[in-house]
Amino acid sequence: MTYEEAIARLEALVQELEGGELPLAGALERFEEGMALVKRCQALLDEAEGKIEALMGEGESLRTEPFEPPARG
Amino acid sequence: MASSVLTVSGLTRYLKASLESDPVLSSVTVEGEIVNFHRHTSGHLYFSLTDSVATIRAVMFRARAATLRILPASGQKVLCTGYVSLYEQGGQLELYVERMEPAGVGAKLLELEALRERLKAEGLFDERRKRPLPRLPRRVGVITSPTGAAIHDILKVLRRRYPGISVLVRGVLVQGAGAPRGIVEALDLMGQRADVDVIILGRGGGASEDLDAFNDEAVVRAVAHCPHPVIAAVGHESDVTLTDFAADHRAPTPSAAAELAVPEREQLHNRVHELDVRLRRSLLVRRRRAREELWRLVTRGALAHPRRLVAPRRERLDRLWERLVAAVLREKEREDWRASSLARRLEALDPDRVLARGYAIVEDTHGRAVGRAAQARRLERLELRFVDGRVRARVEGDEP
Repeated sequence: MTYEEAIARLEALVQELEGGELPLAGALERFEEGMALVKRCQALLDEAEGKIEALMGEGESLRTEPFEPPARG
Repeated sequence: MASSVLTVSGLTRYLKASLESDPVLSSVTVEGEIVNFHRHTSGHLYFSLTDSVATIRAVMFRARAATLRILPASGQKVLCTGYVSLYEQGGQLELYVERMEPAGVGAKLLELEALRERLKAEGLFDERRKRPLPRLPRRVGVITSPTGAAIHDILKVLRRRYPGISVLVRGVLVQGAGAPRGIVEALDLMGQRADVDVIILGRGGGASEDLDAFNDEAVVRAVAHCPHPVIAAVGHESDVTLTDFAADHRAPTPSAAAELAVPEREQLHNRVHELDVRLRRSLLVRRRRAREELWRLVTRGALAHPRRLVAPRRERLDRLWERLVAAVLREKEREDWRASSLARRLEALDPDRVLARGYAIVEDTHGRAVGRAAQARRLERLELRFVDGRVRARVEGDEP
């Protein structure tokens, strides 16, 4: 599940819960799912690996290499 | 019609009407060199256009002349757009100029305008084609000059806003003859990457004012058809390119494009936190409501008067209670009897009770019971235990 999907589902759950139409059992179920999504979202936000790469070459020589941005001059 | 005689004004009126209803002459663009330029005190511009073979008189009225971005003068090559008509009093054919651009650049602009109209008609610039930006791209694609200031600025902003962001850079030429091919290829390669969620297409920045590559038809089409949303950071505020029209989003500078491309991680954390709080609060609210419902039930409904609820069942409950007590008592009696009979059986086995009835137990000198003749034959001494004491005995042999 991507961050997009997780946060969208979480928003839907919170809105449903805040609507107050749910029976208690359904509310509890959604609450538990929501808590799992909160953890998932936080993990996704913290896990980004921060790779800066350059796409080099073309055709069969296509490859990625670490990218060093030029010093500003 | 040779028979009919026209007045001069009749003829000129007819000519004027014919000219003005002609579809070509009513909107025409003419390239030529300005000669005999004269600005009248009224603000109208009078001049002629020539191409060394022919000459035509031209006029540009004050209201139109006010929109000019260039200062016309004799000797300038220009593109004039307007309509052809007849100046009745002088009997002269004139070009009534509505727009004037310098030739050369003007011709290029016209070409560009034509391309823009064509692509627009195809729907390439439609608002409904524009895709929303991802809230958190897994990876940002950057297509720009690998050595310019733009890439430096883009990376700086991306990392500041989202320290863990991953970036894939495709360095390209952004001007010159090879630029469009490289940009199209870069868009194509980035488009094939499933992990790239948004692309920044930026100019190299710096000195160049040459935006031709970003008005190239192939580039514009590649931007429009790229599978990922594209943020264009190409044109100036005043100088919009076709790439800007085709892109999903436009940014005035590379830094601004980077700001569009990724959210601030801090804000995303805040958003998750906010939802977390709302989630917990909504459950508390829901539980409080459930408690209130229960309380209402207790205070208003049958539960508020439990005796009323219980009375009809009271008798039945009493009878059940009695039966239960009776059953327990019966069970206890049965247990008691079982216990006493067990005691009797245990009593029968008690050795002291056996001795009391007149029996004796044969033991060795260590007090261990000797129950068999075979055991006794191997011993010299035995002891006999009676109910009232012990007696030593000697083994003399088998039964006489």
